[in-house]
Amino acid sequence: MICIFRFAGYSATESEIQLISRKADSLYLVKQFQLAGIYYDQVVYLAQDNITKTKALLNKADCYLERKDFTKAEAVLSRIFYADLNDSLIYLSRYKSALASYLNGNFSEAASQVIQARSFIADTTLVVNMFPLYVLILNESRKYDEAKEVLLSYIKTTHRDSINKSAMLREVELYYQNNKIPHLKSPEKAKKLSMFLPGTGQLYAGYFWEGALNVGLQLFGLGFTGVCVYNKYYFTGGLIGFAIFQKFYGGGMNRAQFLTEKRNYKITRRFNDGAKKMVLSMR
Amino acid sequence: MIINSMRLFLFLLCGLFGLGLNAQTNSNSSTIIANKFDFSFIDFLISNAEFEDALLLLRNASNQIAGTDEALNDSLNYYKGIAYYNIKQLDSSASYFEKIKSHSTFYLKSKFYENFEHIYLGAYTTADQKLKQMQLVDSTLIELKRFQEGASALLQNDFERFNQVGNSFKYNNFACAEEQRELFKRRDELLQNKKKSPLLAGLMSAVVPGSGKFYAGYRGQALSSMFPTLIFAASAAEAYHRAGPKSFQFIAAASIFSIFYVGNIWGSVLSVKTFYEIRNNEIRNNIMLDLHIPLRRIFSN
Repeated sequence: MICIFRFAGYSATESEIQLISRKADSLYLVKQFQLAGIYYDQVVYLAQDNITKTKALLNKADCYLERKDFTKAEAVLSRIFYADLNDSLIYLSRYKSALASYLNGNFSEAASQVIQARSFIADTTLVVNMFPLYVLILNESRKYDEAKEVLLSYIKTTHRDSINKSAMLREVELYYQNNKIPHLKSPEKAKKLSMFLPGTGQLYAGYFWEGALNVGLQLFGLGFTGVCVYNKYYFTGGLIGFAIFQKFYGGGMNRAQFLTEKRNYKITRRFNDGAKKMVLSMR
Repeated sequence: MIINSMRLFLFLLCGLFGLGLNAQTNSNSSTIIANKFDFSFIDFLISNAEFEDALLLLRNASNQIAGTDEALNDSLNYYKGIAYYNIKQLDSSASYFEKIKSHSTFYLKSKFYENFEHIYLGAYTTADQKLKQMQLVDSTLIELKRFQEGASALLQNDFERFNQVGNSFKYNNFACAEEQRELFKRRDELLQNKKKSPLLAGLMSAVVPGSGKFYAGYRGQALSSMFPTLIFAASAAEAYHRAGPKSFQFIAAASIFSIFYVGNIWGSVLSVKTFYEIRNNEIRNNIMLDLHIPLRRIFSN
């Protein structure tokens, strides 16, 4: 039963707000996330000071994160007003906003939150804690050089013994070696290659057999035309044979473009997932 | 710890007793009692797009006060209607707006939203009846009512009634004057979008493959369906000429040509209907959009 209606003109005291907040916390603990979120929002509604409001919004965002509703979590965190917050609350808010945006696949917004944190938080020891998340965001944005630099500076600032630290630095250097970083291929280039020399676009994307099959089908179309013309079936050869060739020729170009995009996605995913495991193990 | 829990319980009960006490109060003072409640938290949730949360609270509140206080029920129904409207569950929203009594402050707004929802859901008769029953004095709302009546008539393809209602538009209110003019454009578009004959389209494609699609309105598709048919026709003719009517070449080419030829005719017959419906839906969607804008402007929701 939810008893959240108040009488008009009623204004809550600080201790009452604390009670609602505790109620919300207890609901959160028993995984009643929607109800907990409502109570946190009630705290936002009743509280006079921005710090209490911000804390409640952060908690409400946690409720949405628990419910895997990253879009709503992002929306709740966008309600935070940063004007008079202290560094640690700005850090928490920016961190959670970046996390929600990252989970929501909104990488440019996630990066923007980290950049703002770096600009507005004077205490750099706080901002450093955002670096592992920032690395993941940069990886997803395919900014691997920057991701490597951020990860190295994170390791250098962490409190670990020198042996452990140098092992980690080595691991990062190895992982981000130039030959291991995903080098993306151009889908446009693949299309153009297939336009000038059928099958080469697929070959460029790394799909040899598909390229060979496509060339084979195009040759069949041309061969059919040749045989028909040889047997004086000019219409059949010229039109049907050429139509077969033309279909596979056009289709081959589009397929080469798609296969390049697929290959780019696969290698990026493999690299980023590996990087994620490594970053998480370093936290 | 125990004291804190007790205080929390008492604080939360404050709200509950508020509801409970009002449920027991006599109906003469229902408006006053309703005013004692603060729906501003619900308003707060709705303005922050927390519609599901608002609905959860409203549902719980309804269980507490069901059948007690009229004004309070009106408020609950109004907020439920607004929340459902925002999550685009228009049938539920309309059902709550419908329950709001005529003396409620939310009455007029909810009626216009309800009418919009009935029209949107295609329940034109209900919308027309409800619009007819509305007694208004405000000139803006009178224009809005005429506008909704006009849009409903247009969506039912009742052009005569639309003309009657449309001729009474005064265009003197910025909130809906532009959309009122737009309705006339939509009427002309609907009139221009005439139903064509599927039989004629089929016959045309039988004589000249693809011409039925051209007639239906798909000009680009006409050529793309004509070429394959002509190619296979030419191929079949060639095979007939070279190898004779009993040859494998002729039978194969003629069979493929027949499939394309018949498929083209059948496609032309169907395309008449689909072209008409797609265009019709496009115009109707534009009417719906026009219908929505004045509501938002007038009631700023």
